Amino acid sequence: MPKEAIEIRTFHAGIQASPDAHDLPLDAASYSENLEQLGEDGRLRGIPKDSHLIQDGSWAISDYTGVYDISFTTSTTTDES
Amino acid sequence: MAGNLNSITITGLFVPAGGSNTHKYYFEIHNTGVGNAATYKWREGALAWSAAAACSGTPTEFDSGLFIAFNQSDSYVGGLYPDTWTVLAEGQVALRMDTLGWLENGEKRDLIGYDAKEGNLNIIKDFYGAREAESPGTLKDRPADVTIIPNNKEVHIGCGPNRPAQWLGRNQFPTFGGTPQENITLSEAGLKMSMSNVGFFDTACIDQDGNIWGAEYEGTELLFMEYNNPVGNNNGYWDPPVKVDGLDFGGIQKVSFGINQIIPPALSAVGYIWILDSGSDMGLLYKYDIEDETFQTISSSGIALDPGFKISDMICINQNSNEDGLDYSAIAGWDIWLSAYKKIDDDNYTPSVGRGILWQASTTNYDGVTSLSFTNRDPLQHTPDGSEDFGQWSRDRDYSRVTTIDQGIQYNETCEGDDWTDWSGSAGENWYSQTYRRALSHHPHTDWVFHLARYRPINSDTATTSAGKNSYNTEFVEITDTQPEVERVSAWCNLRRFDKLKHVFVSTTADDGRYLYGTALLAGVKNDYVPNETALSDSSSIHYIAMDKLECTLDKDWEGPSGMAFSPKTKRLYMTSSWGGPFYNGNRWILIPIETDHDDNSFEECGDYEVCDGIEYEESGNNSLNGNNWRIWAESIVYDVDRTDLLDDIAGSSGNQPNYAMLIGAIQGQKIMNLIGFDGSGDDLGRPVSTHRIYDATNFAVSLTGTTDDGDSTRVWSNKRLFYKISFTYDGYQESPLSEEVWELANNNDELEEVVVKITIQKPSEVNSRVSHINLYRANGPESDNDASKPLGLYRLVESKPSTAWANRYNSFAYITDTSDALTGSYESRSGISETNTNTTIRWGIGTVAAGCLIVGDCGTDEFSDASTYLFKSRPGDFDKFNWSMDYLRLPFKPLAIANFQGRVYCWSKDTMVRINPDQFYIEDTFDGFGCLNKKAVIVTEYGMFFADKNNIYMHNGQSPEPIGTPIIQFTDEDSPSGKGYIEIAAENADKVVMSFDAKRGAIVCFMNNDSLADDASLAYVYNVTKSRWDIWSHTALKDAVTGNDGYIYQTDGVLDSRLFKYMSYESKRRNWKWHSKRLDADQPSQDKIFKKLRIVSDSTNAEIDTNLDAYYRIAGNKSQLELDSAANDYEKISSADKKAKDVKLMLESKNNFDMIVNSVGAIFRRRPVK
Repeated sequence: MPKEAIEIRTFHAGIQASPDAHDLPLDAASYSENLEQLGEDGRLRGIPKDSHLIQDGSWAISDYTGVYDISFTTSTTTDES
Repeated sequence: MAGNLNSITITGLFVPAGGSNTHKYYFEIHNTGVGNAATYKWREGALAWSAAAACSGTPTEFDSGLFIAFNQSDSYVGGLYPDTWTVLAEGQVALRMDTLGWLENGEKRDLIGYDAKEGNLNIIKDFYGAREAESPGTLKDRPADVTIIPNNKEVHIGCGPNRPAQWLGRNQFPTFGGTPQENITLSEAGLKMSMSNVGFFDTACIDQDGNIWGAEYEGTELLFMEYNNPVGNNNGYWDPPVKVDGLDFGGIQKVSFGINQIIPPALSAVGYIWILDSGSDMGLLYKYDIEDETFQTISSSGIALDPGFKISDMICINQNSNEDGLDYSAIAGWDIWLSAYKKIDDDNYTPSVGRGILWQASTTNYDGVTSLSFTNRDPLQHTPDGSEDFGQWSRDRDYSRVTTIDQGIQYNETCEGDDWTDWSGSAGENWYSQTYRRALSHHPHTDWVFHLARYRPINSDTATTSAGKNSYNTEFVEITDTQPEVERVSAWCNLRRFDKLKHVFVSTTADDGRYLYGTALLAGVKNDYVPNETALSDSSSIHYIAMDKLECTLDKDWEGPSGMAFSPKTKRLYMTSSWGGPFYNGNRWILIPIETDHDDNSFEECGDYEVCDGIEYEESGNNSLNGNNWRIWAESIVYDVDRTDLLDDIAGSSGNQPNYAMLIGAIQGQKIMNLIGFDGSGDDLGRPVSTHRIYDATNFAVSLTGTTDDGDSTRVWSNKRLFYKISFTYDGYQESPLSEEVWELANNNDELEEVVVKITIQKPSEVNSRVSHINLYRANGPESDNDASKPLGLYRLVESKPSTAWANRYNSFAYITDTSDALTGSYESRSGISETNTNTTIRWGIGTVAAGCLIVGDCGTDEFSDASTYLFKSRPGDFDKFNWSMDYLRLPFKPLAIANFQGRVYCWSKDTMVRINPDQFYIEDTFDGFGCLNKKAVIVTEYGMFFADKNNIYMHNGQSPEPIGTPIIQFTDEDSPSGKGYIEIAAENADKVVMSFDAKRGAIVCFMNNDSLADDASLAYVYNVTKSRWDIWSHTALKDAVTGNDGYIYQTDGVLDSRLFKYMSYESKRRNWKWHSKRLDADQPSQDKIFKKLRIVSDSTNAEIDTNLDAYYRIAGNKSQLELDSAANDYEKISSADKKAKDVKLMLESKNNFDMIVNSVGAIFRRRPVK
């Protein structure tokens, strides 16, 4: 038998978990998380992260906890336990 | 060697108090050592170093919400040179918001957020511009949840069935005599027609200088009345109440005075006002320093209330070291007592075993106390085995016996007659049941604290059975006919076998026979009680004394005492009625003194009490004070040699009597506030000894001046008595009810030409700032009856005066000239409300706008005993005005959610939906099986209305609801995470689900909030309407979400409760994603195939794919990871040994928050021959 190919070129169908999987569109997902619906030709891409309001009225990426840099300095290696 | 010295951890939410938003912190090891020996210091910028502190592994706050933890706390190492860290921190807005809404301001828009924890409203003004944070105030009694309904430049805020709705907006009219307002105002929504500018004092106390401090029950302001007596005689007086600035309260429950020290003669204020505020079950304690004029928050610890219990009263007891109540010149400390209760709910009553009804804390740190550690002081009893347990006392009467009940507890009770001297071995039932409010009072002579509560009524059916239950039904003790000798009489369990109704009080109201109205229980607790103390002066083992029930007739609606106070002079306790119904006895039982008869420590002989006559006082022969709405104010111990005039006048003290004052206050109509010094002696129980009409709370004065001419009998008002009323217009368009006050003018003949009506406002600044107009109405009396007591016709408008007509900010007034034919429309035709209706307010929890009206549910109103299954509709355009007697709709259920969609109102219970015609206000159709999880699980969009119930998510297109959530209600695929189906999550999070709309994508987002512990850990089911596509997105748990004009969803923070998120707005950073294909079978699911290769096509580089994408496949039941090699963008060979299968499933999972984009996927296979 010749070789064949299954190609999924777009991903518009979204999650279709409950019906019989064999009846689903080719691009249906049995499960997915955080996929962007705004299409760039139906490609798989993550949704943006969140931002939240900070003190100066601007929006910061939500990964911030308020501390954005910690640096450590020591002059020698003489520390002992 | 050193360990990981980088390993400090900085956590927390950095909120700088002021100045720069960015701080640079330096940390330095101060002392090296091991474990606790190691210390560190820190400084911010160029500021001074802090004091040294231990290098602890426990996160410790060092500044502005930031915490430091040393990860090697057990073995911290240092060296010859100090190790240092530099930490850069960037401030974040800590703005707790649990419910969101928009407040329009022309082209600008403000975001409103309700902080349910603090009860505050927070606003971010000009949300799409400068974004300035502001808090307009605290909602009364800090509702647990609110609903925000926008309307023009204001919002209407429903606070549930038990709390008044609120109004928030920009006043668009100037105050009376003032300037236009630009600020955002928070006010109760009700359109009150009050002539008074202050709330009535429901609770008050007197300080050492005779000043009165008080508040309306559940009021948001602490009020102050200064005592003046410039000439030092008995003509002292109090100034009118003024608000004490500095703190808005959620709902004041009680104020109490604590004195610091006495400095005779009184030199300056050295006392404190303690305030119990609502806000949590345990209440919030504040202390106001009279001298410094500052508020302090007092934190409480040690209080553990059983579910459903709530703190109801508080007193501050000035400890007298002698505990004799005679000398308070030396204060030994304070005792703060709190009482708790579990509110009776007759519809859901479960005799409960709860504890935690009395709590006490002591302090001598008058100025500096910021926290109190409370100790439980619930009454204890000795069980027969000698141990102590919680319970109430019971006893048998007239005999001694030993009884064993089912639980094996043995009673050994001896009592003769009414001699209650021997309590040894007594036992009884449980104290802790649902009651009404529990009031506290102190007996300074003996240092006892009394608590008083009304217990639940008992159903008469129960009472007439042979099974005896105590009158508050907390315990069931079976007494059968086979045990006729048992006569069970407890101190407070007042049913007995042969006298079932003894001590159970029967109402004389019309619905007698259904209920027996329960007892009010009074008990004393020693203020210096020591839990393990086992003996009192008589060597008995009783620590608490039951004072007995009160033999007064209680109205069935009476909800317990509103206040209680002790008069050392008469040795009586006094209690007044509650904020519920009054004592019932022909409206004359308004104050009940209770004889305690204890002037020494012989409290064992308890049970003597006396219910005295109520006040029957005629002031100057005119205004009877009977039936007035009395509140007991204060028991205050006043020690002030300069104020003997005051004390004599109030308390009638004389000779060597200690200086006590007890005040009660009353209000008559809305005009006059009275103070009465109340005491009595001998046969004059209950007689007030003096009265002070000290304050006219009326802020308005209306005077009528007629001018006459030669006479004209054709005038409409000729020979008729004229009646005037006024009303307020709120916000420029909502009119209040007519005033209850009437101003009258006789027109004895036809000579009256015109009437000049002067309306004076004593304090324009204290008129509700929403009031924009004052409207004058007149009704004429019957012809030729100048003594008529009421008008013949309707009240009709004479003139509506806007606030701009009052030019003077101080003692402002305006004139309206009325002529015979000046009348225009009637009040009813203008307002849509009957002129006899004095209340147009509804309390509500959910609402929607339809047909130009606000339609509300989950309601409460003083006019209905139970409005929970009603919807009410406001007057068109007047969202704060309800004609509740006409515009209501009875539902078959208690509404859970409500929405307006395509001209119809939809209302849900958990499993039923009704469609309502908002114009005629009737139910058009009922849809069983279509429910709603909660009020936020529904959203109306341009695509339709969407709502969620326990089974599915539905889309309503205007014709009928259709389930759309089937693709996501359950995941059965072996590679899908378990428990992620909609039905499973909805079942566990029904109250948390929030439906929102992503306008950028045209998607319904159903936030499930199934994980509130970590950011981005909850799941949302997302339905793209145009693509009919379901997705699952992660999100940080939230309480509410709203869609902005920019299409983004703005959401609250259910993890830290302090951030405002803009959902999916950080375009340059992407979440990790997952995609699992279906089973790819090449349309021949039963034919075997040999899968050779899988292919992933991406624009990313080989290295990026290798690093940031995991790929798996499942063939023939086996899941394997696809080994991506350097030849990316090409087919990858399947390494699994078993390539033969009917289908293959491909699973891709991005990681590292890399913006991974996959263009397509594919599989190469060869079909096996069909056999």
